[in-house]
Amino acid sequence: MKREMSSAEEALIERCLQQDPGAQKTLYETYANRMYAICMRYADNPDTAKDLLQEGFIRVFRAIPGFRREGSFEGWMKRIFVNNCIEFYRSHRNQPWFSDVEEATGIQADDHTISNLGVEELLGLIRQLPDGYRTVFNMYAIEGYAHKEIAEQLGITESTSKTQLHKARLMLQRLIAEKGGSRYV
Amino acid sequence: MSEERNPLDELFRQSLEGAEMQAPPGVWEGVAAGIGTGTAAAAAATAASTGWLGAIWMKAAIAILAVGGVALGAYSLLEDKQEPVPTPLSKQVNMQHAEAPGSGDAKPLTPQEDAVNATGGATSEPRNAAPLPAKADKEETSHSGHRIHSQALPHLPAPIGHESGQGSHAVPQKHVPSTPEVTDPCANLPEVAVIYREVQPGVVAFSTGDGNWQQVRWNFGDGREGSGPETMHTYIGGKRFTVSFELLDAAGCARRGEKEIALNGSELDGNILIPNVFTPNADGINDPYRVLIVGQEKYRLSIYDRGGKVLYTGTDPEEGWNGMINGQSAPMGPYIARVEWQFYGHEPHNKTVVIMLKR
Repeated sequence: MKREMSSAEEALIERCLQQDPGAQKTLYETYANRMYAICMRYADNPDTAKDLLQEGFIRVFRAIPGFRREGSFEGWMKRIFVNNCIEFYRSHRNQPWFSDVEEATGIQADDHTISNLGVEELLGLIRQLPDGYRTVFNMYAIEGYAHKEIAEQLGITESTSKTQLHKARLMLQRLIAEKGGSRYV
Repeated sequence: MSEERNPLDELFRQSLEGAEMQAPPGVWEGVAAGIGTGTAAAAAATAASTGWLGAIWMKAAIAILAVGGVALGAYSLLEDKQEPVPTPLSKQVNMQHAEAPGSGDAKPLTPQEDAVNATGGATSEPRNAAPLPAKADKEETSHSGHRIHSQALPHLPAPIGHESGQGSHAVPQKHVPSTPEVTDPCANLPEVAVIYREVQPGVVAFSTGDGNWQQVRWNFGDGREGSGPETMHTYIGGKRFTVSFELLDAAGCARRGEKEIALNGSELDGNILIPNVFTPNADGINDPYRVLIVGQEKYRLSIYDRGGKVLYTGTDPEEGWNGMINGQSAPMGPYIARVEWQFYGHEPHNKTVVIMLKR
């Protein structure tokens, strides 16, 4: 994934800079699925993810003149999407973001069929997390942010970030167990 | 961070980083309208005159209102610098960091960052802060901390962690109290009191109390390690563990100790996920064949070929099988993985599955 920019990609970006609609559409089609997976990680439902996808691409196209060709284009684009998703959820923080929503468990799954959880299943699990847990988990576990950065980006304290992560993991473990097959009693 | 490589994080990261999902239809039209392919005015004019394009334009406009109204609107309230370049470059380092396989958790441990604490808000305090119970005042004082005393011991537990911690190897000879010379700054030091508290079932906060420690390492006794003067650890299953710790004081003297701890018990049981496919192509995703397991007391993975010949056996779930046989890439196809494990407080289990090697 961390590849150098190919000359074809470079040419495509150049044409996008010149507002070539064909190039813009090609760029969109090249990256839409990967960016959609990111939006699905942060969003709590597919409609929001779709909105985030659209908004993210609008931002990307507006920001292309600022792309400095120092790293991979995809990485740059991904950061715009992640930032966009983070901002969206940050703006929801007045709602009960950081309340404790842990529910009782107690579901004992049968002890067979340990399955390989696929992308959609994992996304489905993440989506069940409360907004705060999900955002912090995404940023820490998948994007690789440090708690300090998460705290800055979300306007929370570091210890809140850590607590959120911790709770997110607990809940995910529980959800995996409830999904069946992976909990041994 | 004192977080070890967390298997759950790994599972999600490996599967979801760079993942793709079929984007829903209709988004491109919204994007095109949003960026005014041509110009927005022209698009609007066209939209006004043509039926279907008009419909798209309207839809896009609504979508933009919906998203932009919430996201952009709220965003501009929060942050002014937003518009032209949405802060991507500042994150470059981190994102690349995250992309580099396996490096995600390899951050150097800095004491400040490690100060996970159970009571919240103490990260900003100096490292030689008051002992945990004093800090925990707002949360509760009923949990009086158990005290663990280090025996100023020469029988050391296995060194905690084998990373390049500057202190770790300088320490042992200093510590050996065999010749109690007056000049030895590490002789006759008082015992270290360490406090732990089960803040919720299975979740234990550890604190080194008041001490000016350069470095603090923990071995939680369940195969996991941590660092920092205050840390928190979640036990998955199990009720009795031997926790060992190693502290390096301001003078560079090591103190070690260990203590049996007894917990009320965890809410969590062990979990195991046994994948059935892996791709040892060095792209950082699913390269070794690894079982994701938490809460295990014992674990072993054995890989066999179809003829039943053992190709790999190992007891470190982080390691896994790299898809090599005698230094050669194993051919694609099915292999057999036998996993044996025992969660804390449970009977041993085993499972044999067919796994597919894909390149």
